[in-house]
Amino acid sequence: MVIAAEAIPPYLRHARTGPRGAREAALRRLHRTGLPHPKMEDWRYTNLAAIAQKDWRRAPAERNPPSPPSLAGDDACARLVFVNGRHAAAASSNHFPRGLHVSPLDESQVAQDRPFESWHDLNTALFENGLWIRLDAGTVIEKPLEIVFCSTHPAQPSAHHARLLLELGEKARLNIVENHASEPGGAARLVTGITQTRLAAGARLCKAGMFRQETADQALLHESVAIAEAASCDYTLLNFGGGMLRQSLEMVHAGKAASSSLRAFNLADAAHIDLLTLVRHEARETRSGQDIRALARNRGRAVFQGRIHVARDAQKTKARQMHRGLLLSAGAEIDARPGLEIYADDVQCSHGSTCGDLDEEALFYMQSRGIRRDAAEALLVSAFAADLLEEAQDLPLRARLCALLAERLCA
Amino acid sequence: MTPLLDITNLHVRYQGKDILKGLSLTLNAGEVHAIMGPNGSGKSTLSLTLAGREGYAVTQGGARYRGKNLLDMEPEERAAEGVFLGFQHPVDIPGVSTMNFLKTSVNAVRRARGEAEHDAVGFLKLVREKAAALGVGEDMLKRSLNRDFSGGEKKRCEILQMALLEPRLCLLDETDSGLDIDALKTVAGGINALRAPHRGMLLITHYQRLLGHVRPDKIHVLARGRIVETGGPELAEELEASGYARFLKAA
Ligand SMILES: Nc1ncnc2c1ncn2[C@@H]1O[C@H](COP(=O)(O)OP(=O)(O)OP(=O)(O)O)[C@@H](O)[C@H]1O
Ligand SMILES: [Mg+2]
Repeated sequence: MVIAAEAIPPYLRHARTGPRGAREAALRRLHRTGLPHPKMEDWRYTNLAAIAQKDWRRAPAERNPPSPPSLAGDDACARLVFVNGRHAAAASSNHFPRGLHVSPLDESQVAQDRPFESWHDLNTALFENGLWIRLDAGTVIEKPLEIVFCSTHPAQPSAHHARLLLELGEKARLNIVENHASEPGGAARLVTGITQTRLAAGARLCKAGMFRQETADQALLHESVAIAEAASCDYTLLNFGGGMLRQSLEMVHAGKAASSSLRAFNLADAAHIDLLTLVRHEARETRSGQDIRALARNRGRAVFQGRIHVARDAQKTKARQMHRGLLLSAGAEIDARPGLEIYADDVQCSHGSTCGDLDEEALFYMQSRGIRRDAAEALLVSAFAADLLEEAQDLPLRARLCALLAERLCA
Repeated sequence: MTPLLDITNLHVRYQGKDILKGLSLTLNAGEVHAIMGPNGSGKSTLSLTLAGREGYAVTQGGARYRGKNLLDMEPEERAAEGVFLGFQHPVDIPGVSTMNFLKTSVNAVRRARGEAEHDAVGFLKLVREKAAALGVGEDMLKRSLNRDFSGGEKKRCEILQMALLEPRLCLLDETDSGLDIDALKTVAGGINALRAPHRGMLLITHYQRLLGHVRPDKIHVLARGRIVETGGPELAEELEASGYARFLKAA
């Protein structure tokens, strides 16, 4: 495909694609639609104009990638490392437990007729060295698979794009710990990442994702989880911000009794975090629960947009969504926009959102027990986060993640 | 002898409303006094003011604790100095386990008093021992503080905290309400165990029943923002029989 050079938006200038296939289609479509803009319903809070105007270079392939920090250490069953969006085989495990297969992702596997959002085409067109992870039916792996995404310090504004396809066979069970981190310093980075997850009947995925970006980072992340009959997905997200993070999560309950539970903690400490969830119930007796918490301070902004869609045939669905915000400085902001679209009549759906300061009564109670005001405040802040993880008994590396969260909150 | 607590002509305004209007009361170390009075008469206002809750403006009078101006101190200083308030409505703190809270609180107070912090093992043992005596179960220690505790469980937990903090002045605001008959005995046992010559207690209660278990030296009636009558334990029986009508009518 040839696009007249002057017509190419700056962020696409380094794009080179093959003559045909999904990448070219994505590129052509993106060229037509452009990136999302604030007039669009879901993009009221996050403006990509600055991204669209920047001339992003392709992030360099690192010959000697830095060894990224491991959360799981020896507790992982295997480790997959991505450096600047590309799977780095040298830094990754080369042996996997029986039944777990890891292979390069072919562009034919990511073809989409119509992406969830137009920026997905940017990722589809430009990702390099994506991975396809499969777990055979009936395989149960207790030790978590650790997936690390790290970005190196770029000399000039650079972009990279990661892509994963994850498939669990029937009754397979897998725990995943995903860790995104960037090397501090350097020029701006644009990071996009898309994961498509498919859980076959009776499969169970338990996943923890942690995002620690630097202030120069702009990240666009999306994950779509298709959950078949009686399969379940337990997802915990810890977002520690950085510059800008827009994250969307689509949970599709496609088979009877499919279930999901999502816990998310967004720490907007001088950062912009925009989390969008789209929970679809398409079959009978499906269940979903979302417990979202946001803490904003130092001019940080945390946005939560949560939509629950219950199709006409999805009778006896139970969907629950709760958002709690803690606003700790005057210049910070928390926005929550829940939405319910229900086309079935026999369902139980609930949503709620609260936002406030630290609870004065609780602070006084603690002070009356001898705890100093500042210590009481710190305890309440970490309790706000700890309370979220208290329920997550299946969370892989729970204790480590709790400690990390506490450490981040006190920073 | 300096009284443990000396309240003179205390006036307190809350949310623009004068609630306490000249309350005076003296409590000596070793004594237990009860305060009774109709709903809304200002009993909790008094206890919260003494503990240092923000928003309770003292417009006149004052309160001295062991000779020092109590009202000048931060709430945490009061706790360190030995003032303890058992709340009428204990607050729940999701995300902080009871055990963790107890440890944080007790060690904070010990540090402030210049005492060594408890080591983890020794503290665990101490808490288990005191908790067992008060019927506070192991699972309550693991759960978030006061979260989904029943009314009675919360009150037991207040007394557990009191036992661990070893205060000198115990202000117990309706610690007996919400307790079943057996729990009342257990909690009263916990209170009696802490009676000591160097310690004083103010029991706010609506019921004679608690006072049957914890015999007070004096009973005060709080009405219309001040102490309108003081008597011996027999006053509780009289109130039980005839109510507060005669105090409310008197000008
Ligand atoms: N948040 C508030 N706003 C306005 N008035 C209040 C508030 N809280 C308490 N009051 C008023 O202050 C007065 C004293 O209340 P307080 O709680 O001290 O009474 P009490 O003697 O402890 O009553 P009870 O026996 O019911 O516990 C009451 O008239 C009450 O209505
Ligand atoms: Mg009261």
